[in-house]
Amino acid sequence: MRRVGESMESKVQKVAGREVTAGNSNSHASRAVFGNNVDILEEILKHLDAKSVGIISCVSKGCQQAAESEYVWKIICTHICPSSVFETERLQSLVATMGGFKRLYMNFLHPLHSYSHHKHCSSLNEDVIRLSLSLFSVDYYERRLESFRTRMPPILRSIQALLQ
Amino acid sequence: MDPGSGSGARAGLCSNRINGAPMYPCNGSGGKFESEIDGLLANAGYTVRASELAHVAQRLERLESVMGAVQDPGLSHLASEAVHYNPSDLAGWIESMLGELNPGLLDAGAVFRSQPPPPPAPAPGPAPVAGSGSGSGSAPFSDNSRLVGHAPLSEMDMDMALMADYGVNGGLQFNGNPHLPRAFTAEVPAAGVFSSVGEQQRRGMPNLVSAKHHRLGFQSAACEGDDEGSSVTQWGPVQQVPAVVNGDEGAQESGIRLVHLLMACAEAIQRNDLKMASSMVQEIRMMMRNPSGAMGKVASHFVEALARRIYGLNSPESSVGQADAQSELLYHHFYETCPYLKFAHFTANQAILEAVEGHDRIHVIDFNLMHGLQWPALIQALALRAGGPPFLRLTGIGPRQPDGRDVLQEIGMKLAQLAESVNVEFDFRGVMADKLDDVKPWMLQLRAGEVIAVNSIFQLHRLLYNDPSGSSPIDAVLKSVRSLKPKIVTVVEQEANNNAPLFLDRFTEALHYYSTMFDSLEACNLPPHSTEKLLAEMYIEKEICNIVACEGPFRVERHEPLSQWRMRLGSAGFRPAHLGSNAFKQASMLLTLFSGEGFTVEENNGSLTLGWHSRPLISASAWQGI
Repeated sequence: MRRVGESMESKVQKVAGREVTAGNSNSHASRAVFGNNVDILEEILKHLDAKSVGIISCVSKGCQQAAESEYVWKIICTHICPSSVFETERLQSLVATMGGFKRLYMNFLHPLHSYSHHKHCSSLNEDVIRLSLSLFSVDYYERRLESFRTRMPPILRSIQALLQ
Repeated sequence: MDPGSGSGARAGLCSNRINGAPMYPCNGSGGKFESEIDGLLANAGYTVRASELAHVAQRLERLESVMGAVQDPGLSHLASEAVHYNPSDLAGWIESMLGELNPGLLDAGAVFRSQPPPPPAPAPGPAPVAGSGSGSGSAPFSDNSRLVGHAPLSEMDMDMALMADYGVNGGLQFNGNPHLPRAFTAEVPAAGVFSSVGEQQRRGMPNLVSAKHHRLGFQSAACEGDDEGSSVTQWGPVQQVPAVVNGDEGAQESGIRLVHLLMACAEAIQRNDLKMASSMVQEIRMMMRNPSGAMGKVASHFVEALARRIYGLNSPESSVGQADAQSELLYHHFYETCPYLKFAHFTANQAILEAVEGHDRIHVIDFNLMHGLQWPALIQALALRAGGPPFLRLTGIGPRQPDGRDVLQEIGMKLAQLAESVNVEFDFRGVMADKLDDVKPWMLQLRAGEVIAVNSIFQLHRLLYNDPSGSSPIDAVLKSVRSLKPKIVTVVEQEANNNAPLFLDRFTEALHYYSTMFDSLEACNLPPHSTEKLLAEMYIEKEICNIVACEGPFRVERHEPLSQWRMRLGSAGFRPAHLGSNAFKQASMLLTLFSGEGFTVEENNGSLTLGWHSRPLISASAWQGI
């Protein structure tokens, strides 16, 4: 997919902004703008940061579907990590297997980033990434263990307890 | 106090009996003398000047007489409940306070007093300890003197030493306040009057009363020129009658009493005086009706363990290994709720990763596989290694399961599936052994060309039992490990000294260690009364039971500090491998994430120690064959 050009980008973001303020009652507005092409919305979302994507996902069902796409979150994670670590094929397939980028970001990258000493930086440092990946793998493993089939894996629960 | 200052200054500060006439110059005639006193007072924290002290004394006399004579129903408690002592009788005053804390001392006749004993009438006082514990209808203190021991003075010394210990290093935290209970601090008259107001407030008296009290104080102070010139019979520090049940101080003091009783009980067991020990256990159980925070829980576990020891209730199954489903469940919950095991696993993984860099075939031997929670992270890190993932072989050692299930194989299969999904060539082998010294090197089926990593998390201390024949399993195991020629051996152990030959020493150390651990557990963001918390506590409780109640080969929790492990591993032919800064950074980050302030990571000659408020709990180290 080609990257959206500079002038288009600002127009697109304005549209997205209007989308947010429009609210749930205007779901027909989103259909009017995007038709049924969630792809276009994904193209828009991949330029935004995680928080905005989260906000947009609350707008309508179509927006939520777009906001949950792995493609969008892969790009969000890639943007937020400084080195080219996230752009390797190996890592991307590993993360995809172990539960996806959205899960990685929401449950591990984001909390670790908020709680680490570098929260004033907008990008994560390598240690945070490495630790997140380790915890992510333990989470994946626990989900596959029989005892946790039906419940949330404990490692996730303890992280989420922090966010409250 | 500066011995160089005149005796007058000392007299002024020790609040001796003061007549209407001042004992030191108060009208500015002795300038240097006075300023010394001012300075000393200021250092002690009082904003009163030496020249005003006589005036203060007179005002307090008035207040005293008014308090004693008050008729007003709202204030009559001042006459009946405030307790006044002769300030020149310091010895008697101290002894009365100790008597509050430990009633047995009063009857034992250790110290003599000239004052009447503190009135227990309005306050609950020490009654719960004495009365309900013994159950007989006789005078409250006599029973305790029978129970407390033959040498009350020495026990008091021990108490004082314990007291100082807790006050200084804060190892025991009663509601977060590491200081000595207020009863031990000297109350100064000016402060004493108003703090009795605080006491009333704690008992639920309305604020109106305290406001009146304040005004009363100021009124009498404002009356100038009312020098009565009468001699003072009694005034001085208003005794703080400790309220056992209410407030922070109450919990603190009951916590200290619990500790006293536990230590006394352990001492009785050490002396083989089981009758007295069992009666003390009853008494402690009575006291435990109102558990007070973390200290109460620790105490309850210890008292149950003591009971088991006294009555011989331990069965071998309850103490040996982690062989059943319940133990595994407890272990798993403990892993999840607290950062100790995560710290252990991640630090060990980091050491292994750094040691096997550049090698293509890796064989990891895990001394206790459990649920294999350590290994997904290692597999993931190897999968992302620059240059491609190596061939990983894992040998997991585990005990035989009572229900015959082959847990090792199940876990191995799960790990294999994970490795396959991330394209790491993986091979698993399970070795079933109830004790580590049953494992022989040939069982591990080593292959040529592979680099070996040995991983032991909380396993080596179980081997420290000294056979009657004199040899220890640990020596045999370390010898076998050395013969494998491993590239790296990771060892994580509890940083405690729970293996002393004397029971009493073991008990004391264990009390300190597990109190610290319980405190840290409180900080782990667990919802109170949740299943996770209960299960984590049960895991710790099993360890406590094993240390206190079991002996001989059944006592497997024989923790030793890192310094001793260093010596053992050194003499077995290993030298330390320094854990790098990556491991340190990772550990610090992990702790920041999983628990609030309180946990500390320290680097110590290449090994990392996880501690709670700088009291060490777990240490992780790495070793190489020489």
